[in-house]
Amino acid sequence: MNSAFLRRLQVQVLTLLVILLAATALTFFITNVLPGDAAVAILGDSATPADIASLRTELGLDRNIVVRYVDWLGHALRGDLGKSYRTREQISTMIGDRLPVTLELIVLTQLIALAFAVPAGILAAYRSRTKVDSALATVSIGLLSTPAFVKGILLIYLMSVLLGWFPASGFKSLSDGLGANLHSLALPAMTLALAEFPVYMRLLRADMISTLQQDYILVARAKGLSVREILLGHALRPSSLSLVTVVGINLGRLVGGAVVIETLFALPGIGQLLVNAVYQHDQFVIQGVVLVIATGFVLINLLVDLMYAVIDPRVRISG
Amino acid sequence: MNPSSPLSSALRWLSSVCVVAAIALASSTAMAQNPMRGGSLSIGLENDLPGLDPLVFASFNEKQAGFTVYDTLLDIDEKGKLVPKLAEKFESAPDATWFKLTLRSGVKFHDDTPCDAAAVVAHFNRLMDPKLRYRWAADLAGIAKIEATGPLELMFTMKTPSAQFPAVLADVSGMVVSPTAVKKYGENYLANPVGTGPFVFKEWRRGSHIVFTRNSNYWKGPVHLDEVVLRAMPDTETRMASLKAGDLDIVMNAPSKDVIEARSAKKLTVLDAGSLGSTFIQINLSQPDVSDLRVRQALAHAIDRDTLNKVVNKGLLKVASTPFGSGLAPHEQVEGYPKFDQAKAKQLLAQYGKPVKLKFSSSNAPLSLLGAQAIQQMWKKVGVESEIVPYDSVQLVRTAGLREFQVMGYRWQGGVDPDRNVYIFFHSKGTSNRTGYSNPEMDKLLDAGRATTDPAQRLGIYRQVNNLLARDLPYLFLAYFNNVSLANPAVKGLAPIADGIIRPAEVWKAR
Repeated sequence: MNSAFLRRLQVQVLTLLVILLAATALTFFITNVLPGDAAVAILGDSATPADIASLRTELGLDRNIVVRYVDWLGHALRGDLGKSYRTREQISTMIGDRLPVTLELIVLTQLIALAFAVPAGILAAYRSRTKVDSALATVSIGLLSTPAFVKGILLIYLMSVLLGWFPASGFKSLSDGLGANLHSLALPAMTLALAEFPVYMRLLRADMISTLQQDYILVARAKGLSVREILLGHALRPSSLSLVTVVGINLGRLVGGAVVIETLFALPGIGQLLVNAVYQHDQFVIQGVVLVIATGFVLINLLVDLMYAVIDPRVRISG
Repeated sequence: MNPSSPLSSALRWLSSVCVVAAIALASSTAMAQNPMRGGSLSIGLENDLPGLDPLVFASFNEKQAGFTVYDTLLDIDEKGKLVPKLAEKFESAPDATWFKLTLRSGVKFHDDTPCDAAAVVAHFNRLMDPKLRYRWAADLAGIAKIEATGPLELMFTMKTPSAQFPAVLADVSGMVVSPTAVKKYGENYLANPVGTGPFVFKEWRRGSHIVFTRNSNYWKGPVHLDEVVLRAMPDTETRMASLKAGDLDIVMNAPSKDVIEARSAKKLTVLDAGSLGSTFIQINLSQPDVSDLRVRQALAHAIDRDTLNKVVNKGLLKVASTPFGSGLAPHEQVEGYPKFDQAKAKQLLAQYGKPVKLKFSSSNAPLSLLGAQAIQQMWKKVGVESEIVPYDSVQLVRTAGLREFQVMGYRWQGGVDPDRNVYIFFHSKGTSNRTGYSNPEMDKLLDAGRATTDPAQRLGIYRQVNNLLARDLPYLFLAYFNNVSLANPAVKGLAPIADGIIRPAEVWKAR
């Protein structure tokens, strides 16, 4: 098992490198295809063409694109992501400031989504093909087919403008206290969770239904175990493999999905950073953020793979 | 279509008078109450800032931060008149070739550095350093020499007559920075601003908010608010929702639909500050078809600006025929700007004789595109085909600068002096002359406008500029964009100043 595991790890790490190279190269070339550049964005309306040309030279934008990419890559490998054209900040600092906000948002989202999806999924499986099940199915479809920004605006109007329970926008960091911090993240996390909840619930329901038809469940029932013990103690764990996979993959996907929500709720996360960088043609910032997101995505997938072995011993043996 | 009937225009006039009266009333009652001390004022901005150094200030958002932490040398009042601020006295040569400033004594920067003539000279030398690429360097290009003629006295000698120059001192260039802080922080001054303004910089959470606290030694007297928080909130809906929920006190540059809603609901204060600049279609005069005056006249006659304003801005803006917003004296002082007249447009096109097909560049912002589509239909009605080419904002600026367009929807936020809205665009040697317009008569007028400081004489000159623009039509004017802010009614002491920026020293909150 050990050597097989190491071999898999090797393959994963190699894949990681190839993906990072491909993702950063692709982003670099695509942002370059976009007409207009940082020099125009920095100098603005009243700049003369001569001003723009001289700033392009200063920023090195007049060099060949391959040379620029290799140059960037070289620095990035040594841990230097460069400086923002626009704010002249170190990009590693910018990302370091913003990443925790996005990560916290995503973790909260997953917790909220799972807190509702697991009981709902179990209930829907246990009472499958009843009114409860179809009501849950209807709610799921409704939530899935409403775009995140619509749900966000509805939540803002309901929970903030009408009821005044949560702030409509803004971010309080942990230094303002955990309560204030969670309070400020509640609405955005709920908005994102509303899209994850139906997926998780439906997945768990489907897997659970098939688990409940297994012989060992029948045995458990024959032994006179309570419904609660059967569902939570015997059926939940083997039914959660697909759920774990999707939750894992979603961690990566949510970083991208958070772009809209961070903009809507004015959260200083990595998604908002990326959007602004694209508007401002701030190429190194775009590169840095893509690098971080791609790395996170691949690492999470690796982690999910390893998690299987923990959850289901059968994977360990066959692996 | 029902173009402006006399009744509806009378009503519109009446309603704008009422609005002005309401604002006047609101501000006079605000004066009558005694300002209360304390409270935090939060202002929603469209974007986070690139830095808190005048060197990188470009947009409205940055100027708002600037007016919070810095003081300008001069300021403008509610009538658009230049008034003293950091400079207590201001003299100009009759031919506008030199200007003398006397600074207020005893003013100190937040780091206790005295704000004297030497500090101001250092400030301007920094802005004029070509290596630092100050965004408004062109405004300072006319300075031949700045010298401190006394501890608090300064002399600006200009290369050529520059009557427009004093207004520059009421804008970003006039926001004096502490020379000590510039030295201390170097490149990081961007995130460590030190000025003389009513509020002291405290904290900047990038992408989220900037906090300023009261300057308890403000030279102008006590500042009412405890703190000002500028919050970066890119989404318009969120800004409005936050204002309604009480999480935010002021939304600047509010969208028309929200202003109209606020006026009818009467739950929010509407602060209509007026305008300095306008929106327009600029025409590249070197391009086929539009190089012919008859075609440009036809295009102007074909646009129904009233309907356009109704469709795009719910009738909120004022239709424009000049480049000067309501805060500038030559505003709407024009004769002969082409009126909406489809028959006339068709007749002119018939005289021209060739079919006209245009490439119409526009910003891809939803409202700009909506406006472009409306204009496209109006042109189509008189037989002009056009294809809309949308650009993001950075691209639009680039395309305009390179003159890679035929006709283009554009806007200019406007300057505090009329010259700022015309010289660089219409002088044959203007640095932003994107239309390629060149007319010796115009050059003479624009130079004359810089050569006298007499307001009456200057007004006469810019009236002629308006008439000439209406005749030659390098621009087709559309609307003046009003700087309208919506505020929590507890916020008092807001003054309608045409640049749309809130002067936070005077603001206070009722409880």
